[in-house]
Amino acid sequence: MKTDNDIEQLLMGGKKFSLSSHEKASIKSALLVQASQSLTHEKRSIPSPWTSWVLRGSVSFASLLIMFVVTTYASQDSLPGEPLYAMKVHVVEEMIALTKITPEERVAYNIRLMENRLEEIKEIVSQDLDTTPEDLVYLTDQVHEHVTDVITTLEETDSESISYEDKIEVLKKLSGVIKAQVEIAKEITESTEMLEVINETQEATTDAINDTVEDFVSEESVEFVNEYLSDQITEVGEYVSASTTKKFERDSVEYHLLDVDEALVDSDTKEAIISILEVQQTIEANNYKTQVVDSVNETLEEEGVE
Amino acid sequence: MDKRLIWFEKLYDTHADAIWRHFYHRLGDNERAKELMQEVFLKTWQYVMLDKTIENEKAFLYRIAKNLFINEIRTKKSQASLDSLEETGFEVKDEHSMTGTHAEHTELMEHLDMIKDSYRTVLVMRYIDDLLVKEIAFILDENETNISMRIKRGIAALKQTYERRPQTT
Repeated sequence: MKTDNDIEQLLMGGKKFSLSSHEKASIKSALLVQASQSLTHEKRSIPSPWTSWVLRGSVSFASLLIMFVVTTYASQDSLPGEPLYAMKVHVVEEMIALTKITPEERVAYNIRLMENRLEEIKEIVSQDLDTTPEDLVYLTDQVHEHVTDVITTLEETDSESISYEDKIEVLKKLSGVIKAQVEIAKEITESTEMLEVINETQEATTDAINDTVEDFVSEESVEFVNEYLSDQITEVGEYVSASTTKKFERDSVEYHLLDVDEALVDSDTKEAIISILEVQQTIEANNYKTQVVDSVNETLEEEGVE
Repeated sequence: MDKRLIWFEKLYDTHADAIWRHFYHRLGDNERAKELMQEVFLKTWQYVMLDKTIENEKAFLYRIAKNLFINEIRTKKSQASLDSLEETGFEVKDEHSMTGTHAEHTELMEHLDMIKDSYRTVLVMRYIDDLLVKEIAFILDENETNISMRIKRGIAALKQTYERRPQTT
């Protein structure tokens, strides 16, 4: 005769039964496979076609954006001859250029690109990097291209969008930098090809300045033009009298100022403006050359070369 | 690995044996018990995949088990098979500590099959699944007094089967 307790003990004996570890593992594997498959299926099937399209588009866009940002960051300091340089020039910069809509934006961006190329030339020259003459020619070509883009944009833009003074200001700076380039190029390379390109760029800039000044003088009032000329002369005078200006810089500026005086005596306002702009370009060129020379000297000092 | 998958694996490791035991002692069919146990976990996974949360995992699993068992006996009156005990695929843990012997358990399975399903259910849940009366009441959606009474009646009914058919050994 079994008691209630016996029955309970018999029943509790059932707790000792369990699946064999092999059976348990086998069922577990099957379950996990099915669960994993449903997870994959969930990822594929839940979004509606529209959501899916948007999601895919967003993911693609995000991926491209990330790639673009990474590429931009990684390539920003690359120089000609380095693997990422082509990516920087032909992908990153061209993609950014597409976002520049207004003439002001295009001009500013092309100037920035031109400055980048000049900066690269400076890097190569100052660090004496192992670059080929072709690299320098390539960079000079690029400078020419950006300058041409700036000139074209300025020509195509009316004076209401970009005033003559602003156009002249841009061209003056371009021309100043190019002047410096001519001198630096003569010192660092015997490549006639490179010099030809720079001369071509310089001519294009000079022509653009002459044309713009001519339009400025003919279209603006005499008072306004005279006032502009007066401002430019004052600016140059301040530069000459500044204590930081070196003697050779002062001499070169004063030499050009003779042309301004001559034009003023002849009452040739256009020629006077062009002459004073040439003085300013010389100042720009001196500044740029000084930067390059300082940079080279710094590098030499770091390397312990006396 | 997906967090849900990690959770699911842990859930299986914790409750698989108990759910299998539950089905096995109610059906007496090891193979079918394994299939139903697998189904319980699959249904749980499908529920989770609908971004629904489970507050009481154990109770949830037994509720699914209860529903599956109802479906099972509706479609097929399962018979406890003594042969199934001879099948491989399960083992006895800590056999030395067991009260009685393997043969006694075989006989218990036979006697369980003789009592009403409502008694068998609560006895299995209380003594084999080791659930509290409160938990059984929640899973079966009944009040605790009814469950307690049914357990007592179940014990009495099981005892009677032993009295009617004394041990052969």
